[in-house]
Amino acid sequence: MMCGCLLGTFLSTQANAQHTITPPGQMTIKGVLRQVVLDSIQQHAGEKKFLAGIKTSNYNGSFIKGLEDSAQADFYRFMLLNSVTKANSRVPVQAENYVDQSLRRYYALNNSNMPRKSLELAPRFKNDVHAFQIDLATGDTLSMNYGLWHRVRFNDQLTISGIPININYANLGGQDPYRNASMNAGLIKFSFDRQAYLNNVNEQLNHTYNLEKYFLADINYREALRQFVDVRLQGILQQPEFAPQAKQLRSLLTYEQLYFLDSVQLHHMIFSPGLLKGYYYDGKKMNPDSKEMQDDVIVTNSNLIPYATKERYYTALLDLKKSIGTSAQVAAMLAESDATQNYLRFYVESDINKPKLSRELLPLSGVQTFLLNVHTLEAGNIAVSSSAGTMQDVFISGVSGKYATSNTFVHMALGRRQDIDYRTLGFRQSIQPGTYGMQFLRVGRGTGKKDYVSLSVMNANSKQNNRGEFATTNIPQNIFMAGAQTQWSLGKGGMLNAEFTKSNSNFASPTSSANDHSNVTKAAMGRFFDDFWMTSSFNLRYTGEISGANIQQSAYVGYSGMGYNNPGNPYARKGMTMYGGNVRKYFDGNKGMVSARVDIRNMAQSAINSARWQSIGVGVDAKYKFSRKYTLGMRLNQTTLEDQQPTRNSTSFVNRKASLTSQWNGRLASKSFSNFTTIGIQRLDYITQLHPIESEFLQFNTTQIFMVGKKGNTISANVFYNRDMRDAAVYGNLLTAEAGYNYTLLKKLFCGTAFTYLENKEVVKQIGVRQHVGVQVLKRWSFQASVDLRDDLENSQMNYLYGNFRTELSLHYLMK
Amino acid sequence: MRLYKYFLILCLVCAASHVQAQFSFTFMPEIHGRSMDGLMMVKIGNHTQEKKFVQLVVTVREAKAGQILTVRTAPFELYPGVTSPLQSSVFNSNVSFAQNKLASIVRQSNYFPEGDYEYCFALEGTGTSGEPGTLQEYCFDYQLQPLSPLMLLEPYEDETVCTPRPALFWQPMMPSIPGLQYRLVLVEVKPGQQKAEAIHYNMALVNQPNIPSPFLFYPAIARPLENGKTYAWQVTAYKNDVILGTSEIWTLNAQCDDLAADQKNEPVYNNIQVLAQRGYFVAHGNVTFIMDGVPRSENLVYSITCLNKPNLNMKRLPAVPLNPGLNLVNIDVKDRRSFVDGYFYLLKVELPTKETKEIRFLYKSK
Repeated sequence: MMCGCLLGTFLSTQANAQHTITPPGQMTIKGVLRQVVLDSIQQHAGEKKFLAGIKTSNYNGSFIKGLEDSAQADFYRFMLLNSVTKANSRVPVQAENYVDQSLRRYYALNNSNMPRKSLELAPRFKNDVHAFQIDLATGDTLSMNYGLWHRVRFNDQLTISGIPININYANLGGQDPYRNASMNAGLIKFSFDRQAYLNNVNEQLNHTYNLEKYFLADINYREALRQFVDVRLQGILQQPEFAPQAKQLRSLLTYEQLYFLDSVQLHHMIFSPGLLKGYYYDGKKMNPDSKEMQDDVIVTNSNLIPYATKERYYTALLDLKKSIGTSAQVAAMLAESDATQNYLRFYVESDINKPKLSRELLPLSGVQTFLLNVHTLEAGNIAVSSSAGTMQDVFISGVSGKYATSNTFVHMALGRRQDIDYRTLGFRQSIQPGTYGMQFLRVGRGTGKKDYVSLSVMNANSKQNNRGEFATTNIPQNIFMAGAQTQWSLGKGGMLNAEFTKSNSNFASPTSSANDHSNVTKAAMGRFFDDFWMTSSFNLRYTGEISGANIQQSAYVGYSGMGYNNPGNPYARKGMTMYGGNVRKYFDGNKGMVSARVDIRNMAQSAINSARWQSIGVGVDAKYKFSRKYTLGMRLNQTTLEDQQPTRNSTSFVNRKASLTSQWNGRLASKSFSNFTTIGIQRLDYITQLHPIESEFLQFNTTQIFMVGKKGNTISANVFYNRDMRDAAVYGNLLTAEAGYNYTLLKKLFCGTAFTYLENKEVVKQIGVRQHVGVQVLKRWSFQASVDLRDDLENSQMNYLYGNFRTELSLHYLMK
Repeated sequence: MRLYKYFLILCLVCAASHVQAQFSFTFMPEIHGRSMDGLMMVKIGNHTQEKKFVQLVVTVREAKAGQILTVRTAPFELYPGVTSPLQSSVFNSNVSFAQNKLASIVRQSNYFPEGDYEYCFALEGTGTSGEPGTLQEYCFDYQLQPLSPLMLLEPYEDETVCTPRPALFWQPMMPSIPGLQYRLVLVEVKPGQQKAEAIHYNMALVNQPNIPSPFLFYPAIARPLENGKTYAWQVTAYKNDVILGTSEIWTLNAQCDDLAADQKNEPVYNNIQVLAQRGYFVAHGNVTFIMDGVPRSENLVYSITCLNKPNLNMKRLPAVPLNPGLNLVNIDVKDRRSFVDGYFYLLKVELPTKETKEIRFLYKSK
């Protein structure tokens, strides 16, 4: 819509200016708008004192000369302070366009006397502490926070030259006496806060500019056009040759006739003989500022005007008409002005356009301009996800960033994979590769929300893991990966994602210098196409919906060769073919939902025969909300794992489950209550080295909450019962029960008290109490403490899971 | 506990440990023989009283494919006692692969596929501190079957659960290895945080090792899941102090219809005259307004039509009794099929003045 609008002649931005504004002397409708802007600046300048000492520039924009000296000086000053050197280097037409744009910027300034510094992004430097938190936990459940554990968290936002950077620091550590293990991890992350940055930019834009004025959305185009024409008509009629017949000449045409008639029609109007019904022209009202200027219908005799005068007048009118544009242009402008103004308001308010507007209007530095298109920029201990075939769910110490324009994007990451944390506590080694130093680049055209195509490369060198008691001994290896990704929108049909990646690994060979690891890298790149299918991975995923039928569906198929090696995705599989999908249907006004899913994964075991692990998962879910108060759900699912050898198949694992869930919110004795209950039966078989385990679980889980009083106090009870009908699984027979009261004291003190009971058949029987206290202090401080104490009624040496106490403390200071 | 101790002793005895007078190798092929890096976890015993300057040479052969690879570490000092090869000497190893498919797979993936393997370890003196040549060599045989992937099962990826203590299930690693156990970690994912980041930065609600079975009932002693929060969980399979595999990280959302929030969401009532002047309002759940000046007890005279689908059956709307004076009118339409979230409707209502007003409203189910 914007493109089709003639307002573009003056609304041109830097990107398209040269295509829309014509050189001086051939002014079209933009002349009208430009004049309005100049008039406004002139009028405003008259109210200000003259700013001496400002040199004028050599712009070709001669129309600026129409401004009085003071206004010109202010305007030139504004230009000089805002990248004037760029304009000087331009060719004349571009320079004029630049002046045009500067004129609009100047016109849109909320305060035209604003020093340049006030246009710059604020603040230059600011520091906001967002949160500070200390968590402590201790317990005696073996290895589950056994010993004393802490976490200190600190969130801060540092703003430098209007660029906000979030700083997150966490120190996580403790000691586990049972495993004789300890941990003390200091993690820090610096991340560019894009949303806060755009908010900053937006705030500055709105503070310094009236964006409606920038897009000239404040101008009444019909009135502006009329005034523009009137002033020029007045100039024509005051010429000596027309002055004696000014009244008659003026009455020959209406404004609309001048706007919309072509040269032939105008000629006909002016040279038609006889009496004409025209407009009365009052010379006393020739002052264009006069609001009283009006047209009255009169009848005049065209024959009284000499033919030569008519001819010259006709020529002058054609010149005037050139300056306001063609009839079609004028008609289009007037017709679309309202709609365009509405569009502009939307355009101005939309976040998508903020970077472009900011570049046009604010004196941004190179870094600030660059950051307008930066979607993520993080450094420190960070997680990186780009795509499943490149980097996904990988935690690194390094830097990562994504830069995207409207049609291109670049994603890069550089750093060292970091796999040591809670999960490795108590372990000393891993048969998985240690860690990697990685460099990753992905470049694409399009946007992630629509169609795109991208290419990626990654290089990784194995590194030693050596932290605390966890140390790996790794053979030096280099992996080079390259791939392509694409996304196709199928319109209403959905979206298709495809990805192909290939890896190539190399170790130091006897012929290479063992110390020269760059040789290994070169070898990995040089022999990239070796073992092609063995080291390739392909994934195709479809997601879509049939909106009319309220159906959502997805399907996927994937393959990875046995030699595929992707250090950027710690959970990428090797030698696996997988396919499956799910379909979900909502019905009855979204009250009901039924879904089905299938996941099949075949993982090759052998390089020379068809031996494989085959995992098949199927499931059906259904849910119906009978009323606001009552919802019923059902689940059936099964997963099997088969060991498929060329000569025999055997089932290694079966999980088969059927369950019913209900959620009920209602009132009983004028008290609101909520109940959530699940009942299910489950078959769980798996092979162990000693003997096969075949369990049949009967599960029951219910939670009942009653609202008591108006303070949000609740009485709650929870019972979980799992009975292994075959008594096969260790810890398979479990009963836990808990009844408690959550209450508020002294407005700021939130408490919870509960009595607990736990029985694991032949393992442990416990009874206990849990107390929770939370207090809000001085608006920003909150403190929480909980303690769970249990006494063993029975215990056994089989008990590795159930301790007797656990305590947690949390002190939280929240700034925002 | 005692059972596990016996089990551990049994494993160590079974682990082929070859002891001769001067040097020995301790290597568990069912664990260490699965990957290239696992080969370097061999423990070397130096039973002499002096340090030796040696190189470790590891050769792997498969019964059908023949030679697979040879790894020769950089020279290192082997002190008396039992140690692993030095990290630095392993990192400066030379590796040579045979030219066959199996060797290619190992070179590319790091892992050994199914096969009947022979792992040979040789200690070679470098000559700088004594005699050159092979000081000790020993081979271990093992019929290797690759481990199946460790995959999470339930709750499904990104599933929303209502129970504060869900049961967690995963597909176990097969073939079963004696002493194989699992560790489950569950952490909260803060808003804006990636799940991999949450696992590293946040204190675990559940960090439970020693799990012998492929499931864990949420520990009663752990803090329960809180409504409205997102959690990430992951399982690691291990034996003794060696990690064998990890599952992917899945998220789950704890979300129940909040009873307290339900109570707090008291309907908002605006005067029908104000709504009529405005001509438009948003109905959240029910259609509510204030009607004042009702002269007598009577039923509200009203009708509703759907603007998005004018042919939608809007009959049998609930009768709304009015009392004399001021009435808080609440037309309960929340669970009616004809009321669709996001649709526009037209309410035609007769005021106490007998004047009929038409008011457009947007229906929101929540």
